[in-house]
Amino acid sequence: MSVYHDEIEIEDFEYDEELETYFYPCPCGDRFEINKEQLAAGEEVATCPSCSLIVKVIYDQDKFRLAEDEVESLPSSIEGLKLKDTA
Amino acid sequence: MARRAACGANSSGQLGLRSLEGEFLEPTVVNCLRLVNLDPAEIVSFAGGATHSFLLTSKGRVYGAGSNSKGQLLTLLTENIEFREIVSTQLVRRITQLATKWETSYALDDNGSCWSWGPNNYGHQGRPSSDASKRYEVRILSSRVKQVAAGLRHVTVLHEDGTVSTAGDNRKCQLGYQSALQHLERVPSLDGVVQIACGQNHSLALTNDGKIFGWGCNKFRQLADNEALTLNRPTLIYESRSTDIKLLCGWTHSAILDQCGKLTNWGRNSYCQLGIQASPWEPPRTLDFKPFKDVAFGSEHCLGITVDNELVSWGWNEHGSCGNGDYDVGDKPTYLKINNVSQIGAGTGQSFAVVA
Repeated sequence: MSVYHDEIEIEDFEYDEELETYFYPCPCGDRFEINKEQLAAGEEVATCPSCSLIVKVIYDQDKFRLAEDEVESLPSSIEGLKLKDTA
Repeated sequence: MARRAACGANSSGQLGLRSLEGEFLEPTVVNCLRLVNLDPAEIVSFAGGATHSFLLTSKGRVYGAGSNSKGQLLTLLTENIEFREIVSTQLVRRITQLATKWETSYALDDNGSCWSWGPNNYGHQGRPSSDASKRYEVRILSSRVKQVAAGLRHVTVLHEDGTVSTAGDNRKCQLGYQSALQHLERVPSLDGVVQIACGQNHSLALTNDGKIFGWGCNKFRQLADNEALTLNRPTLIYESRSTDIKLLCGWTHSAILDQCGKLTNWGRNSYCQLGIQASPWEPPRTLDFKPFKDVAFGSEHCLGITVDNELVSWGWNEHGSCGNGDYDVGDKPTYLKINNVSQIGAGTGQSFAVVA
């Protein structure tokens, strides 16, 4: 059995702009979460605050590094990311 | 008088135990039903989402408990730690069926109208996801409906004419057709359907000649296909000798319960969801156990009533969903030492039983 409950693409996560955090349903009824800062730092494990399950997040770290310093030039084609425009 | 017992995850009070304690490891009597004058013997079915639960009575009334943060319970409270009747100006007729998998809920009435409420962020209420402002309203999803099944981000509807429609997220081919339109559409080349079921990201349909078609996510072999990660259209996955069977889906496993009480299951088994020793997944096989009267699946845990009315459970148990008093995964159907069980139901991590 793999250590990860599942591997989930970032596009399948829901983004909360206020919390700058990505969420995905956990089978316990809570949600796996990982924030923008963690993604920019290369973190790939989303955790559930209510249980021990973890998922591996499939994403392109470069897009999040870019998001940290140059939000304006973000390619508009990144489906599902919906990064907040800080301009 | 019949008693009703609950166990499992309870972070939002979804067990209706008048408590916000995070979990109950053993079946616990739900006392609050007395407050609403409800005899548990009237309960005909259960439905449970992420953090809310419903029970349906023989009179067609719906009672809900748990989180209301996304309008799940149609009240003004943020949560209900005890079961209260769900009241809406739209839900005026007898409700005959309920379905929910996460935060969005569906109800079918005795006129064949299917209603929905809660979040619509994937268009899984059959209207554009941009139309999210009225999430707390009950909206009509379809008329002439025979059965509704809820996925996590999609909905599957069986019409009275034996055709099937779907709406919602399609990233895992949940809809059974290619479409960018966010309303309920007929699944092509699928008719004569008599029963449906939905997992997290997959759907099953039983036709009047005993064929079971599946589509959507197959990452954990929940569609019993040995290769594809997804099946983008209804595909024959199993043939049953009879149509007198019950289709079941957990989040990532599937099953049929036949008229002899034998359970044939397949799909993900990493938490022993199939009632056998853990493995990544398994093809269809019949569980070697005493015949069941009924079986219910939560996300990754399972409940059964044996022919002798005993309560059994197996599968993922981190929040006590299996009700056996600990957190260990149940690697085979295990007796909970509760007899005279007449009804069972499971939500994501919650479990219910009516005990005579």
